[in-house]
Amino acid sequence: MAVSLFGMNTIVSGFTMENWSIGQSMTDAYAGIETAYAQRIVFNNISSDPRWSIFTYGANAVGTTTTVTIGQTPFNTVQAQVTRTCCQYTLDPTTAAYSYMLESYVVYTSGKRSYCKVSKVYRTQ
Amino acid sequence: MKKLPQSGFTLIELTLVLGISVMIASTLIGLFKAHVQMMTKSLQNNFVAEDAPFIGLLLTRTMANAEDFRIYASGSNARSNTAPVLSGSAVRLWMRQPNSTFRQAVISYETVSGHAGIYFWLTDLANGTFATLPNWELAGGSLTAALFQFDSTTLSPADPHQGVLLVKLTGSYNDWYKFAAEKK
Repeated sequence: MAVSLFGMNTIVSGFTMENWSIGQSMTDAYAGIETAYAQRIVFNNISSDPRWSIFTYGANAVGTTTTVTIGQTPFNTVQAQVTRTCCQYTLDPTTAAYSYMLESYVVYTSGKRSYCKVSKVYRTQ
Repeated sequence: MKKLPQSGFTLIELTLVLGISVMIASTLIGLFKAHVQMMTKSLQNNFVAEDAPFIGLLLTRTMANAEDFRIYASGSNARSNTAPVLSGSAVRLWMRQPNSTFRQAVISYETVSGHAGIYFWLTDLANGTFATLPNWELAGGSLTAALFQFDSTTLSPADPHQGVLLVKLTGSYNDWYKFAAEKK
């Protein structure tokens, strides 16, 4: 009986770990999408894009959080929270160019555990 | 009169043993059933757990080497360079060669010789045409669809990423995995 229970426990743990690794892998993939998009977005639109709310460097961070579907397993939809912030650096005194750091934090939560993948893209004029 | 010694078990003892045996057997059967169920679930997860991330890596690496790409509704359209679209099952790649010319390749989800999968077609160096059969099969098995999309209207309707080449891989149990197949 003890052996059976131990075996059962091991299998359940294995299955839980498998789901956890699926969630992590999907989170990584979604962070890749965020990176690609941050690299692609038209520079002039960064400051007006509601996706990344701008905060001044050094001030309190302000971000927007969205729940997104990052994948689907045979049994359930996998969702994650994406928090995006954008740091606008002051004008470069020499070139008078603006620059931005676009950050996306993709957080996958399963029970009490959370996994976060960060995407940071630096854009400058 | 001499009394004969009694041997064997009483009815209560037999009932007790039988009851315990039934309890143990039913528990074991329950555990076995749960074990089989868990194993089945684990097998169903195989596509999103193992196959899809690997296919994603393979596709990203391949497509990131291309200088340019176009999406087509089908593999044959891609090979004949007919009617590019924003969402489809094939993508045509332009790969720059060391001599600065371009060699073209097609990655498509289609059925070849009765087997559905993601295939890689490369043009012939001499005449620039595609062969009738693909050069490689990149993925198959439990993969049931692959969608390449540039406008993200159906892949990310709630959280669109316009202008990014997204790929969605679908498995046998309607499970799916999506990623950006671009240079990071």
